[in-house]
Amino acid sequence: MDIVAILALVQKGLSVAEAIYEAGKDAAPAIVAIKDLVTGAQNGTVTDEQMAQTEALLDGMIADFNTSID
Amino acid sequence: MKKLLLVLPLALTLGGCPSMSETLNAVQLATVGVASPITKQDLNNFENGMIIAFAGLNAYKRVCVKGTIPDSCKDTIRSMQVYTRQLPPLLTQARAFVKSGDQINAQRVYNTLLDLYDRFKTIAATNNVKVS
Repeated sequence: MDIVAILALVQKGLSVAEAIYEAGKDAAPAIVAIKDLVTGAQNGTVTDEQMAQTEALLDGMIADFNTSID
Repeated sequence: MKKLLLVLPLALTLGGCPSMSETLNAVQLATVGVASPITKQDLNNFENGMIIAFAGLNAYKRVCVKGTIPDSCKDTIRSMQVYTRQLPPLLTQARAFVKSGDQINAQRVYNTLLDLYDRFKTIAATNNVKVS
């Protein structure tokens, strides 16, 4: 991934994080994900531990969204 | 081309909410094409993209629950949940296939995940949740 694509990703990701802050929700997961996306794109390597952390976080966030809304 | 980066932007406009009137801009999912193996790194990139997407969706749901945006947001969320609720078992399968090196099934499940994403993105667009 070239630097322009990485910067575009960061810019758009941060705008999401900003909106999340405005909604009063913790933006940390999104920020960590942005960092990991960029780091992963640069390094091309991921450890099993990092994968496990990503998987657990994503599973939790999907479960959160999937709860019924009344 | 060994890797293909598909950019799947998701932007959610939270109309009617003063503090959320601007767009939840572009969530990008980094994915790989079907013509190349899906590596652990590819899957991790994809899942990180999904984390960003769901951070936005959960923020939208939060303001919806608080009642700061029109009540129709609940129907929009329910419509998207039809597809997002299919994600967990597919993610479990994709992870297992990638880690075991079963590329044929990994790519099949991967395509299904992308199709689901496209479907709830389309529903969002037709319910005045701006998608670009």
